[in-house]
Amino acid sequence: MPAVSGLDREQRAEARKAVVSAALSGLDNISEVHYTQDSSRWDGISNNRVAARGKFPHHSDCSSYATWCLWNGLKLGFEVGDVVNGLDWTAGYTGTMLRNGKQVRRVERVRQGDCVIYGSAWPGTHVAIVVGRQDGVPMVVSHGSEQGPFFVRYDYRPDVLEFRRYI
Amino acid sequence: MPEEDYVDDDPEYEEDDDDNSVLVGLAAADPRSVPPDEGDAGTEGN
Repeated sequence: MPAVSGLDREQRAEARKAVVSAALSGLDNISEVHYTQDSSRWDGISNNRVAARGKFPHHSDCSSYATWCLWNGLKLGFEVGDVVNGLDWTAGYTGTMLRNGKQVRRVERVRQGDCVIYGSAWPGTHVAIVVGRQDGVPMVVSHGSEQGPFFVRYDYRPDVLEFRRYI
Repeated sequence: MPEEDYVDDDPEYEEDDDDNSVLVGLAAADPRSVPPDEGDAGTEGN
């Protein structure tokens, strides 16, 4: 069965690096990455802010930030269509993220570029993106408030709904 | 929701399992210091 993204293993590894690099760029520019839920939250993609060129979204919420990270690795890296929200990289939220991709059931199978979706049921209430592990624990970049994004362990809040893969 | 299938059962992803980078030199935030997440814009159109 092909990967969600249709990429082969080497391509997936490259995509993951790009996704992680994008996610971490927000930490380096925390004061300029503002939180919003209005339409400007798609700033990163709609204004073609390419992480590899040192660009990052100036306005986003959790889902548009995670989607922007994946857009860097999938769309910009390999011209992959919108496997994250199914909306041609123009829109989406946790509800569409839950409808796309593939669930990872076991935490030990979680990899860089996977998403952690929080909430009690569909459509979810929050999402963060996995950037690696520390002491075996998946770590995420989470942009859920004006003070963010934050680098935290995936279970920094107790309502982990599911892990999801789009790469 | 369509019937779900899982990464865990997909042999395509088994070869990715050694690709699991450990992050060093990056200090994690104390979860207690993270303000409550404000939620997600909740419609498909925005």
